[in-house]
Amino acid sequence: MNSAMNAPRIHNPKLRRLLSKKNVTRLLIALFRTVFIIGICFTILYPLLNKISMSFMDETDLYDRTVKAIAKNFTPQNYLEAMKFIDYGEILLNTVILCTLVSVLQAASCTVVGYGFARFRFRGRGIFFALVILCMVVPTQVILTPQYLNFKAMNMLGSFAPFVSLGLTAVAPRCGLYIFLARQFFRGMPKEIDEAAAIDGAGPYKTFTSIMLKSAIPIMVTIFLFSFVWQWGENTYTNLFYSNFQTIAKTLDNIGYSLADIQLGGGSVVSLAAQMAYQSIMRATSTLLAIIPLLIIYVFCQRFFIQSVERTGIVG
Amino acid sequence: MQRKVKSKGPAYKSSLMQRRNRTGYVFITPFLIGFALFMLIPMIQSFIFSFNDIKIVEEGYTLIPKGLYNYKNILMIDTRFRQNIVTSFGLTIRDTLVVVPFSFFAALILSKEFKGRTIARAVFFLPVIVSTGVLATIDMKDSVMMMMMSRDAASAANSMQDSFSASSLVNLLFSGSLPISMLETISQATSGIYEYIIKSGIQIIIFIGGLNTISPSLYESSNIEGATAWVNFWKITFPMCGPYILLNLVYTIIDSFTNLSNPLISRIRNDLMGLKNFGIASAAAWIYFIAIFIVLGIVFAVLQRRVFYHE
Repeated sequence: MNSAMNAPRIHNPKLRRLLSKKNVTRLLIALFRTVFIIGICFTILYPLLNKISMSFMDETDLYDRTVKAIAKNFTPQNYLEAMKFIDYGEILLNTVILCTLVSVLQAASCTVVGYGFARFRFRGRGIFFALVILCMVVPTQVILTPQYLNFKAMNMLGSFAPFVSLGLTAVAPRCGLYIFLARQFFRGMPKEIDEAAAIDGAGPYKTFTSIMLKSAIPIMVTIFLFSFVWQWGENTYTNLFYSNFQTIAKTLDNIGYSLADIQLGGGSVVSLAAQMAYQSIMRATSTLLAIIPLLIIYVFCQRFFIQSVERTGIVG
Repeated sequence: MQRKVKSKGPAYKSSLMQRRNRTGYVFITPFLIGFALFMLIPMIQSFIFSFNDIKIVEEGYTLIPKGLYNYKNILMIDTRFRQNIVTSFGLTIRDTLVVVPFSFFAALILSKEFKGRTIARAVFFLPVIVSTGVLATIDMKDSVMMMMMSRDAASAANSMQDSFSASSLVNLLFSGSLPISMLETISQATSGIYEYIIKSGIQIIIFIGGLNTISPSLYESSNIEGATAWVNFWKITFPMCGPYILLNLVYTIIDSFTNLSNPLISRIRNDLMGLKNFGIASAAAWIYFIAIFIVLGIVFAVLQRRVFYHE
């Protein structure tokens, strides 16, 4: 209402009413948006904040009614214990090696394949692209067993070989999605680039390596990030193909069982609740330890990530 | 590989452009090799497995032919399979109906300019980063433990629940002033919201990408014609997002069908991981695969004609 009054040039009362209505709606929408966003952000952050607050608690704090979010006996001890318990140094190194290997290979292969689908009109392109879609649709369970048996027959189990071969040939799980993203990205680039490059005497390979790759950095970072993150939490494939390789995902998946084995208090009478509280704290701290590297990477890659989200129009 | 060789042959006259286009095969060669070796062959094998019983031996495996027995066993004898498949269809329908509208709505809001948008986006995409695979199920397992705890050690656990379980949010807000049945509904809804937000990550990204492809000039001209935001939405935003809605529908259906929390998938997975019942598990996977394919086919057939492509 007020802002309409403040606009002195409008003399027509009808128009004025319309404007004020518009303003009220706008205000309501803004209010609704703010509530919605804050609500969702809270829902997303709440479990995380919860774990952070819990990870600094002594277990007596957990069943102390007066303690809510801030620990009374503030202690970093849990982190040290959890690190020792899950053997953090080793599994972190293992996971980083595996994830980097897999995601570098996938980012490279999917970008190349996506480029091929986006910039060349060859015979059978539609059919071949349908195969990419098929890769997305086939449940991994259908092909997992034969893959396992084949890798076993080729003596490739228990090494990085299965991961390398799947990543290099762009058929690892979710590679279909990445090829799709890369294809969309390259489709959006003007055709004139190719023509100009051809006139300057660059062949298709030269065009790709010296022109296209440079502008493809956002999409490659995005694929890298997606694939890295997915591999970080992935357990099925690692379990099957490289069963004695300890990763963070594998450790976390079994943490319930390994925590249940811990006995507290050196033989004294410890209540079930205290045991449970301790387990919960360890679980929260270990989960945080597993997520922290991802968060750090996200902070650095976030800009690229959102940039390529903005640019990639993903039309089917 | 064969196709690549064929393409180099002088089968038809080629212009410079055609020759250039054929280098496309070179770029997609890695995928073609990978598809043949690691998708096509395993799919054929798995199809054969589904008609056999598999024994794992030292040097590999042996097949014991069973004919249609595996399929008959699953469809006729095993009551669990039919139950599971109905459950997974129900879950998928529920997921799709919630996730697609929600992510569209969230993307609409996040694509508009407002203060703190960068932070809001960073938070919205956070689940995509931190809640994949095993990491996503950790919380679920913990809440199961919470329930067990409240049964086993009621008093102590109650006070603990106050400080950290999922329903503490509800307790915090209503602190006992509402009847318990209502509280339960609300707490279920809130934990459900979290689950759906996590599931919507990629879809929100796809929708934001889609919304950004709509040219602002469309809105400008319609505003000049005097259209309201409401009309703009239904006449421009919604139809222009058609392809993305279809893509997200398909993605959500696949995601939900192949999710590990899906009873059928976890059952097939357990059979395969335990290296037993290979034949039956393969048959179940194939039936399931065909069911997914039929559902996707129906979705495509119904929506493809209605979707507007701006090309």
